[in-house]
Amino acid sequence: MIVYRYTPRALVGDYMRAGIGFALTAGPATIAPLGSVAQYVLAPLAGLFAVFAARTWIRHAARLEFGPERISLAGPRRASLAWSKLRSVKLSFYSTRGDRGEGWMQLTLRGAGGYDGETIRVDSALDGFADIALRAAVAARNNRLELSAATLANFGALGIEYPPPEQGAT
Amino acid sequence: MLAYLARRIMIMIPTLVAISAIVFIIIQLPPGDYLTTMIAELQAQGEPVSLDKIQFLREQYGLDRTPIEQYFHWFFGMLQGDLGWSFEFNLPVSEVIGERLLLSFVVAFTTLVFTYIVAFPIGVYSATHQYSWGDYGLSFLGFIGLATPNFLLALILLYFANVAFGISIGGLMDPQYVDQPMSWEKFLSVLAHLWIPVIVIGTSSTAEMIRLLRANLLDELQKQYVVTGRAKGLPPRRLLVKYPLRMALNPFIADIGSILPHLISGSAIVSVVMSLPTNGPMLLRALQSQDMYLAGSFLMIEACLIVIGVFLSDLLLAALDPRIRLHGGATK
Repeated sequence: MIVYRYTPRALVGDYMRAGIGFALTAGPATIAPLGSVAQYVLAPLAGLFAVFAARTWIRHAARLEFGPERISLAGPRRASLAWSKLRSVKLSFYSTRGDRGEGWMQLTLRGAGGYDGETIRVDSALDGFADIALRAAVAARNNRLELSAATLANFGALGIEYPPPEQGAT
Repeated sequence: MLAYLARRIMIMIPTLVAISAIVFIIIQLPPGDYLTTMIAELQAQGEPVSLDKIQFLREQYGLDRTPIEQYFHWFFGMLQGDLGWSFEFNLPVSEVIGERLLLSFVVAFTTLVFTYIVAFPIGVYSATHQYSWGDYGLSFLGFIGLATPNFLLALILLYFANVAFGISIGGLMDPQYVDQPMSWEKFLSVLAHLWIPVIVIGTSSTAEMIRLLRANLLDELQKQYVVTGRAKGLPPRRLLVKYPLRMALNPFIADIGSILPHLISGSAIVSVVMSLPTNGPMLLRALQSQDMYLAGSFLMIEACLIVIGVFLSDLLLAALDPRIRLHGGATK
């Protein structure tokens, strides 16, 4: 069983974004007159940054245990997914830049539900993300899952051929 | 997606602050201010101008302060929902633009619906029946739509609507309903007048959209996955709707950013020609008379709508097609 964590460098950036965003939206929201349009716009944004800060903390404390049979998330949020119960794989790429460079990936693994069939999301700031993506591709092939065009393209960008060749095949 | 949302909003905030500063600089750039324009008009009419009164008004409107003080006063006012004071109307800006904003929205939204309803089936038909008589005929109509100046079409339609249907020339309702509270009769009058500006403003964008959808869909229809789907015996309609049409829609989604600002400025020249009580002519008038807070608020609302529009289209694109571009940057 290998244990992976999120890199502190990526999390520092997210903590800063959450803090600055919250200050810039919650501050004006408190000085705006009660019930004004500005308050209706800014208060939900402040809420969003607060949720983002909480999510960053959850990722900070998260530990991902990765093995040949299952992948499990430990920490404030717990989930477990056996590879045999994997029902959907989605690999998305997000970028805030116009040329779509310098973005990040998010891997969503959905199970059949119930014990060892929960949903687990990891993003590319996690150590060993490429290993997990490769194992997910193998499990998707074994479970005969159909992947979207975007997921296939993103696997290709990580250097993962889909379907991956069987072990021992030439 | 939450991380994307937070990062994207973090980009919007400094963008809007920078835009507010640029807008304020632009409306301050012409020499003088609203009062100097007013004095010049009064002097041109031969009316006496009291210097004491001018000084009083300058202090009253805050025009004696430095531009930086005026900017921060305006900016923090906006954060509290106060758009400032219109010198020309002697009313808060929010009250001046209130009803016009609603009518502008009605015209712009109806035009948008008209554009999509007309352009979408025609674009799909033209692409799936490339080089047919229907494609040639519709493309010809599209080029006419692109080439005809809006104001010319407006004049022709105004004349035609008056002669054929007896609809009053100009405006968005019959004259007796202007400045009246909303009623069923007023609503029907607005509906009877609405189709003219909708066709006038919508024609060129409809033609543009037909060309764009046709070109995008033709590109997609020639790709290998479509050929494979066809070879595997997928029904043509299902094959079209499931993949190529969805891919061809990406530029439409990306275009939302440029559609939203039309809700505010929406075809100012057409509005002047057709005497529409929308925001375009009022923005023009505010810029001419240097009614700085009114003009600034219009420009700021327009800038906000552009930023929100681009944000919405980015969100939709990220949700619908979260694909990496292989020539793009690395992931971390």
